Amino acid sequence: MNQKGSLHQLMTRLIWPIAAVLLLLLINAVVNPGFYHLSVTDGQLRGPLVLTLQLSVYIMLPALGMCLVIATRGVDLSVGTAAAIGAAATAWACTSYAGGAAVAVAVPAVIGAGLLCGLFNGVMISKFGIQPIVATLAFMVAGRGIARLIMGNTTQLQFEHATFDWLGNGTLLGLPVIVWVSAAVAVGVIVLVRVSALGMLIEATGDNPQSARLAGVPVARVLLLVYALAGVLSAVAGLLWASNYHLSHAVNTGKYWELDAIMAVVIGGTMLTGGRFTLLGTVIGAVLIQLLTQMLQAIGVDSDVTPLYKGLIVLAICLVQAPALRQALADYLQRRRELTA
Amino acid sequence: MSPPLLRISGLTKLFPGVRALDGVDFDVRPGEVHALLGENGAGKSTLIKCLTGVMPPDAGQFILDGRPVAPSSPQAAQQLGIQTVYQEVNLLPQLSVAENLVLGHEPRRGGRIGPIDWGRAKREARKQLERVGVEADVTAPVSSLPIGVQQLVAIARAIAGDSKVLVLDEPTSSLDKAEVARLLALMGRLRGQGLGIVFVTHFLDQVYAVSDRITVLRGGKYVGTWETSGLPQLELVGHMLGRDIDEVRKLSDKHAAKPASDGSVQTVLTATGLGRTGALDPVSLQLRAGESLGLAGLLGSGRTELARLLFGADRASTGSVTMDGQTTQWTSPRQAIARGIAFVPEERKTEGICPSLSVRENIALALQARRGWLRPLSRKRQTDLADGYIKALGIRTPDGEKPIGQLSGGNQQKAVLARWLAMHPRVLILDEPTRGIDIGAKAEIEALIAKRAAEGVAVVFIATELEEVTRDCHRVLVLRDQRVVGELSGDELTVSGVMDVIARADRANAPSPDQPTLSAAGGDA
Repeated sequence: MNQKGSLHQLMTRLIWPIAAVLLLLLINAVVNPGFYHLSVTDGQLRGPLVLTLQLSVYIMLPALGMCLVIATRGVDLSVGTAAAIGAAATAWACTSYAGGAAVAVAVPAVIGAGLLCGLFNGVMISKFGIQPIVATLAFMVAGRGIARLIMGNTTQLQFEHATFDWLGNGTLLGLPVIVWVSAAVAVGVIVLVRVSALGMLIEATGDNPQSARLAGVPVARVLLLVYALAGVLSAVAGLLWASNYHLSHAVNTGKYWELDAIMAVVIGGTMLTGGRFTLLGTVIGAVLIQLLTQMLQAIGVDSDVTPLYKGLIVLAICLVQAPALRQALADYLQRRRELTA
Repeated sequence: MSPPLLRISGLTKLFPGVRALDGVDFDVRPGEVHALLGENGAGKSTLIKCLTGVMPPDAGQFILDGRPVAPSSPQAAQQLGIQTVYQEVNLLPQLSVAENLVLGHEPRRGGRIGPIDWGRAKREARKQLERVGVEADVTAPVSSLPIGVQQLVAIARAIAGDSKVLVLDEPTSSLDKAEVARLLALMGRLRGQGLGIVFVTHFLDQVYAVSDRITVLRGGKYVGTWETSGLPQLELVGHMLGRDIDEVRKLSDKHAAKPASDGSVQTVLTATGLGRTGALDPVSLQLRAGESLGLAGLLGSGRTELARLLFGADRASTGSVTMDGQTTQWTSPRQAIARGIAFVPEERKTEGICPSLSVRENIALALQARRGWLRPLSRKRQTDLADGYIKALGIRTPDGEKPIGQLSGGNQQKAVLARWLAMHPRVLILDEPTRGIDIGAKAEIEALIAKRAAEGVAVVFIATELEEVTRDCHRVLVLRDQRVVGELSGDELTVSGVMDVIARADRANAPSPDQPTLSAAGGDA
């Protein structure tokens, strides 16, 4: 009974994002018939749909961290920068070491770098009380310089490494390796948050920080943890991106990722006011944004104009979810029913 | 006796389910300081909001200088000559004193859209400051002045135009003693200039130091208006709390408290010199197992502050807490919770519940927080815990999954209580646990507290209703003006006994001057 209650709650939150995904798939079928074309080359499924999954990874991983941050009433504008730092650490390891040594250095370096990025934000916010938007904005700008320094003071660093090439471009059981890895990370995060009590403590913190503190919730530690997680997830996204393109770029890696991540969270049904959050919704939101981007490209919208449509559609989805608008709509339908009755 | 400057008649304001003001009548004379008093929920704030045009009354009227007026907005009220200064200084902190003082009616050169004549603006600002006895650099930003001087600048701004009535809403709450004396002296001078001053405060000393008449509201109703000089403090406290003195005297013996616990019981917590600057003078006390200690006093007396310091909700600036032989200064509630202290705060909505979380989650929250995030309570244990307390405390909700924000106040309060009972605390601190909830729930909560005390929990209980405190507690500390002024137990512990202590508390520390018109405070900044 209780389980059913919360399942129902989850479904009401996810119904609009899911409906939007279905709608976009439908529109794609009309405007871009080639969208559903799938072929198998070299044992890998290929086609625009696969590309959607592959590219949505770079939105999804930072968005998972962003979702938890937003649930605490915060925001993290530095996820793109953390990704650039992660990519830089990967490129640095692959140009400094060879073979297995590069992997052994890169993975801990990326995770450690992401952790440091997140902890820096978390300390600024939880210990010094700086507003999240300000603290992470500062790091968003400053961190790009760190990415440059990691790469030996160059803007772009290219590398070749078989293992990372497999990670970024290889195939496993018909799908890109990158998709499997990201799915595993996403499942890991969801399990970590929902099987442990972290989810509840995050929701309490975001719903009413005062009440949470007086109930003994370690609010500062919760904040530290969510920003740290956001940093690590973004850095890992940066590692995957670098593996895919065989390069790291101090300016372009992770550019505007924070905006896509915030949009994915909001479209996914988590409110910016904090409290209740849904990671599954965020995953759907990330796929949705990628679908939208591809659809706009397919119908020939200039890539410079794409953000306009993206913004409008995100706004529309949020409006549909807005309680005020839904109430007004319900009232209107009620009146019409009364009039016709 | 001068005719009234402002007459308020039949003022009524309804909120859903509450009569916030119910036919209130009184008048303010020119050249008088009129104290408006009442406990929480008496209707003072609502009355001021109606008077200053923040919200319209549902019935009744204001007659200003013989003409009925109906201020529709704060601006309209100001144009009528009704000025208000709030507790929180309402100036633009980054702008200069002069800018703040002339804002909205800046002197300009050559017509209305000409450039501002700063020379004249500064001269005008200086003249306005003179009126309130402040000498300050008018080009300095307001934020660079001490808070007390800021308050005086706010008053200078309020009375700059053609003002008749000046409403001061708890203006002294954040001031130190010298600043209070200066403000009271200014009120005396403004009275001399013919202004009618409505003075809202909960500091009785200040009421007696400066006011000419006192009006008391209680539960939205007008209780009465008295000449200050003819109203003994004890009687005033009686009016505010709704207790007739003689009746109380007669009845009080029947309410004689339970016998004080025998000396053998064990001390659970010892506070030594616990205090916080600006909130509470240092207090030492002991909490004993199985004893309920009441904290009595009017709003703002320091009772809530003491409770918060015991729990670590606020950092103490002096003193320490000793439990289990270890002496510490709490730096966070978590430390206090780890030692077995529980705290049900006064502000249920802002400090008690997490409104969009379910009843189950709200009940399990403290227990889960203590276990840490790596040791989650299983869903089943949470549900069992919540269902058990929902049944035991009679929380009215369809099930534990309903967001707690959708329950009524009394049921929310029970759920917050359940959160702490689930911790099996050794010290249970309850700040107004029965406020704003219906009588049935009140009785249940009181019974519950008594039961916990009987089981050996040390209870700290705060309630405005003195009868509750005297009925439910073994021992009562009486607070007034941020100090503990008395301790009662055994036969002395009666409603009238507590009221005597509140009223008689020594007035040696009362803010001077008693003769505010003979301005003692100077004009330095």
